[in-house]
Amino acid sequence: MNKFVYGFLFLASAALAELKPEPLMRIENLPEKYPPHWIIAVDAAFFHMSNGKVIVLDANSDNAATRYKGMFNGSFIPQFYQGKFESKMYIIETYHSRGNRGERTDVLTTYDKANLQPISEVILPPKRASSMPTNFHLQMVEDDKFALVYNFTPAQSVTVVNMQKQEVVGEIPTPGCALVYPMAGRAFASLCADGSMMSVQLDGNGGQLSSARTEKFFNADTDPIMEKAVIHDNVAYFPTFHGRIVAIDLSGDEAKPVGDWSIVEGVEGGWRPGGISVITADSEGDLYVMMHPDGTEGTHKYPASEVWQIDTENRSVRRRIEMALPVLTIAVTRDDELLVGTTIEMNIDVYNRASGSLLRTLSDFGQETPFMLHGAN
Amino acid sequence: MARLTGCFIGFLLAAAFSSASADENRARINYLIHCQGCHLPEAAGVPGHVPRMHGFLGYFQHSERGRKFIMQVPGAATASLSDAHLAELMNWLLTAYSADELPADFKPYTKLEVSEYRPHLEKDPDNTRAEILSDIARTLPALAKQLKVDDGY
Ligand code: HEC
Repeated sequence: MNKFVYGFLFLASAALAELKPEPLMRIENLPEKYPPHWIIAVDAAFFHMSNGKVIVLDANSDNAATRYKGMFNGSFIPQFYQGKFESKMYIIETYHSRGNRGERTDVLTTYDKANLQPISEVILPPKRASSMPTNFHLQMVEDDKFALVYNFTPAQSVTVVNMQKQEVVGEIPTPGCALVYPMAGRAFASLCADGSMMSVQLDGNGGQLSSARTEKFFNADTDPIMEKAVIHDNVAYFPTFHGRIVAIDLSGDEAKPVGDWSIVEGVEGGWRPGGISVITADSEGDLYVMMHPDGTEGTHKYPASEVWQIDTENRSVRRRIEMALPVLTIAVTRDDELLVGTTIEMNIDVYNRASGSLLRTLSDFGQETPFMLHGAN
Repeated sequence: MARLTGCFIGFLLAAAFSSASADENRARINYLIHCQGCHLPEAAGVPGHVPRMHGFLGYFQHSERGRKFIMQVPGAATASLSDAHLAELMNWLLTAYSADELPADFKPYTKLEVSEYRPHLEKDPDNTRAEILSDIARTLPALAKQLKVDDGY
């Protein structure tokens, strides 16, 4: 037995002597400011949710090996926020002491964009909403000074975290109202089941200064608003199930509905908005809405066979971009050059935004269900 | 066959009008659709998260504020139900699951009453609830002991 082992080691070392040693432990950093064509895929790992990932990719690269830039983990459908000012990414995640059971810990984790390492953690009250990813479970206001975490126990509330002090500073009840839509200044809005919106102004310590409610501006029975929205220039645009866009001004002290219009009126085919992320915007403020035909009750999560580009000034459909394969979620890169979408095959299709032509498909980057995409800030 | 069906429907209608059972069924179905997801079957609630209405909801009828409050919590106030159907549902919940806790002079909600309370959505359910229950406990010492047990749901 011993003789055999020695013999084996001898052979192995003879072979190794002929190989040139490679330098080991070469760890490269990513640039602090990601190039404009990089994207971030938030993978919920839908079929085994405690293993979610956040993956950084160069969407402009045809080299499958080098376009993968790195990843970090996020447990139990992480909700993601990309820092606007610092080279940081943030997730809220959930752990249980026995993996899938036991004591629950919710945590807000800060990641360094350059090395994808966790920098700090704030332990949260263990009540964040566990649900499919949106862009409005975790948000930040006042130049990313305060983080806001949406809770559902099923009582609804928002945990306020002072990011400089790295501590939880308060919890604000938002009865009957969901998610956090960042407002200008130190304030947020929530979308309410009765068809209104609630606005909350925070004081300097992160407590509630005041709160207000809009009049009812949508009817959850006749044409429900989707909770998916995009915010451009402090105006939130919400699609409705039946294909209207509802604009809410978030620049003042209180959220204010500033009009709505149909994007499907006079269009044949029963088109409706749908999917996971549903809506995004480019830097000029045009909206991109994921659309499917033959829409009816229950199709609001259907993948989109077209993406409609909406001119918000003229309230018109500027263009309809056909998808080679239907997509579940979309994003536009920060230079407006690329439109990316997660397809029903769970790959990422990359389109030239201006021409609408398919450039490439990003596949085999360790993804399973990359339900949310973000252009790098 | 058609005549038989007609007969059968006639029989059902007669049954519906001759007792409250149709309303009760509708209330029960509305509970299943609009409330049970959070409040669980038999209005059992979830300790620490969702109040138990079974054997408790009736206490709120000992206070005017409590009577309004249970129509103003978000689950009730923002439910996709007409005022009449919400009144019917709450009356059913109170009598089916919490008859023992009701005051002797309990009056069922009317749809008009619901339409008055409902628009004033409760802004801070936990604290308002605690205030109402401690008021009741103060004014009705006989109930106080029972109330304490369930105070924090
Ligand atoms: C999304 C979950 C949810 C749904 C749906 C819901 N509730 Fe509730 N309900 C709660 C929670 C949580 C509370 C505790 C108060 C709060 O924070 O809103 C509550 C409190 C109440 C209370 C106050 C009881 C007490 O002891 O304080 C009543 C009454 C009530 N709900 C009735 C209803 C009715 C009737 C429906 C259906 C029409 C309903 N709820 C639907 C979650 C829900």
